[in-house]
Amino acid sequence: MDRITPRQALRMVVIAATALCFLMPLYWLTISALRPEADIFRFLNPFGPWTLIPNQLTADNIVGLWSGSFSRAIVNSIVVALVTVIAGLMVCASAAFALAVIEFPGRGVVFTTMIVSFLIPFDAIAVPLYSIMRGFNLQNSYAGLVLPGIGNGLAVFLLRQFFQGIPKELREAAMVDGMGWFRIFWSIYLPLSRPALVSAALIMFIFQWQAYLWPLLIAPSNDMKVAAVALAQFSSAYNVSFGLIFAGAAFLSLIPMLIFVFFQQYFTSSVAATGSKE
Amino acid sequence: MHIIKSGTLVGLTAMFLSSTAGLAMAEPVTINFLTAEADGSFDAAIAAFEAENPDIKVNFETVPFDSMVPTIESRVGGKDSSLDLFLVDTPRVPAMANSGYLRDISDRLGAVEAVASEAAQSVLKYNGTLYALPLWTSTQLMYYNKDLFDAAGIAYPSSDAAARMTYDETVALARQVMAGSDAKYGFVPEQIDRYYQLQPIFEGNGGGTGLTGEGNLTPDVANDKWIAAGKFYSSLFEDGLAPRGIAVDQMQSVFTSGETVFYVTGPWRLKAFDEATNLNFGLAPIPYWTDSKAQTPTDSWAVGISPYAAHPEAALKFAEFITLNPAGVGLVLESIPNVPVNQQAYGPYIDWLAGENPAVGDDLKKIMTYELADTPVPRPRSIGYVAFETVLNRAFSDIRNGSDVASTLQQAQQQLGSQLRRIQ
Repeated sequence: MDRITPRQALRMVVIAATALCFLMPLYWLTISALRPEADIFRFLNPFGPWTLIPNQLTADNIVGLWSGSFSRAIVNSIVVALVTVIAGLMVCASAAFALAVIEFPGRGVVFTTMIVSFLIPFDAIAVPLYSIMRGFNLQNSYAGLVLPGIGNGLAVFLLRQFFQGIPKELREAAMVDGMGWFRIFWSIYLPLSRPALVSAALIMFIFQWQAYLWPLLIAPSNDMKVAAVALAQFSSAYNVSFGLIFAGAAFLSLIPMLIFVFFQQYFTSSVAATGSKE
Repeated sequence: MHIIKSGTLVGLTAMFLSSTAGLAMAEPVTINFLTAEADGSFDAAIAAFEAENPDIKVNFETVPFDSMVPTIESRVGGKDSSLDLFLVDTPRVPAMANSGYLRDISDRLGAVEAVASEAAQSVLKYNGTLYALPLWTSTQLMYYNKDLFDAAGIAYPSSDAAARMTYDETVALARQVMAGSDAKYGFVPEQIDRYYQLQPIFEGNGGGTGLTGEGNLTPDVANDKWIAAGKFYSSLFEDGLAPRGIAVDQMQSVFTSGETVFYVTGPWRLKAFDEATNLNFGLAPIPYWTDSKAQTPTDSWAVGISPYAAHPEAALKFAEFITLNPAGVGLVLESIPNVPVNQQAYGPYIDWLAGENPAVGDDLKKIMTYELADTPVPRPRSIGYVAFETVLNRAFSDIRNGSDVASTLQQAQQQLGSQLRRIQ
């Protein structure tokens, strides 16, 4: 067995310390969710063992979280995020395929417009968009929540770059065999682009999962609230329920974290391969 | 023939319209009411109102507190007819009225005059026009930790307004208690970087509200009195009497943990302090400056009607029920025990609040009743108030974190000058 050199040991210590720094907020979030509310900030100053080690654990925050309207908001968020991912992948992958593979006049202009569109902060267009949606009577509806998330410029960009990396000989051979554009898209490009599709799906999921301003405007009804808005409501004009906020934040972090862990390999390989011509 | 056809058409149209109007009258209208309060907090009032008015349904909408103003501005600014009425922060009434976000309800002035004091009425108006109905007001109390006084062997401060301490006396007493006990902090205002609570320190020192001139659109926040008040405020943190690095939302924990001698906040913290384990507290009036008149923060939320409301009359009817009708006011207070502006509701309210907090009930009633009647000073009335508050709150935060007082206030003065000129 090889001995660890001092240099390797130092490197491991640095890596472990860095990992600890990244884990600390998650640890703090978790223990704060499980602490009595009065203890959450009680041991911060001076910094001591009780700052990080809870001397009392309680499930009150977790129970309180689920006894209110938060559970309904979680369901709404999941529905909105999943529908956005499914509908968004269909729309964005189709658009990306057209921009990457089909040559048509003005393709460059369309692509540039899409790139610019995802550089504009959503907050800047939220109010006029709200007026339009209200005109269609889409207030307090899943359609109103989902629609702005479907056409995602960043997802189109990622998928287009990936599609361009697929050898054109494949589609030429398919065309010789009599395949139309839809079959080529469905049977060749999509199966080969699983990492990029996962990556685009994650982008769209996170966009909706953390959306705040738009749901606040378009879905003010209590039945249609999404989780991010419901979480913020634990802070009112005269009271802030930190126990519920930490418990809710822990749960809201857990879901995207699990998804990222599960799809990590696809996500990294997609980002690495985006734009590759090989 | 043509005339006959036209006449028939007109008749049929009239019949159709009258029949649909009949249907519309039969259908209850739904009004949407936007607040930043917790779910269910207006349920009792809404149920009672709907029982009295079966033709009106009230849909309660709530948004997070920090998003209340942007939400109203986005929806009313976008002429959203689905928003009928909402809670309004009273210092924002001039700016909102000036932007056309509030409906003129001057025809209800007589009813408001019957239940609200003159000072309370003034914050609901802009240029003599009534734009909101009075819901709540507020005041501040100085809570103190009795156990820390006992440990130091020092007598508790008086709850009499006549024996109100000055700021210098309060700080000196806090230092004595800190020296004789294990107190960590001496004097902590809860809303540590907000004009609302710091107004008595700055304006109370005799330097004015911070706004002067026509329409209160000229800043005056770097005069000698403001700088002197700022130096006092800065010294609280410099000398360790108040903490740095703790946000307003988290501040109450420094008092509930039993480590603070004096803590200034509103009566809305009574319940949390009462429930805190090992916290034995008393009440005193907030301090004042020697040679100046005592003043306390006031104002709170009112109820405004959107100029684009689909059902303005129904909205106004509900707004009147929860603000002008003592029964309606009482039902709201059951879940949100803020100080009502309605004078007819104040007596039962303060008796109830004192009964809910028996350990400090008598002092609570005495101090609150005196402060609400004799010392309240509203925030300045200006269409530039939002800019004023935003710039000043940032300056207070900088001072708290150690910035030089004079240069920070002069910088705020310059920023405000340029922002308020644009508004002018």
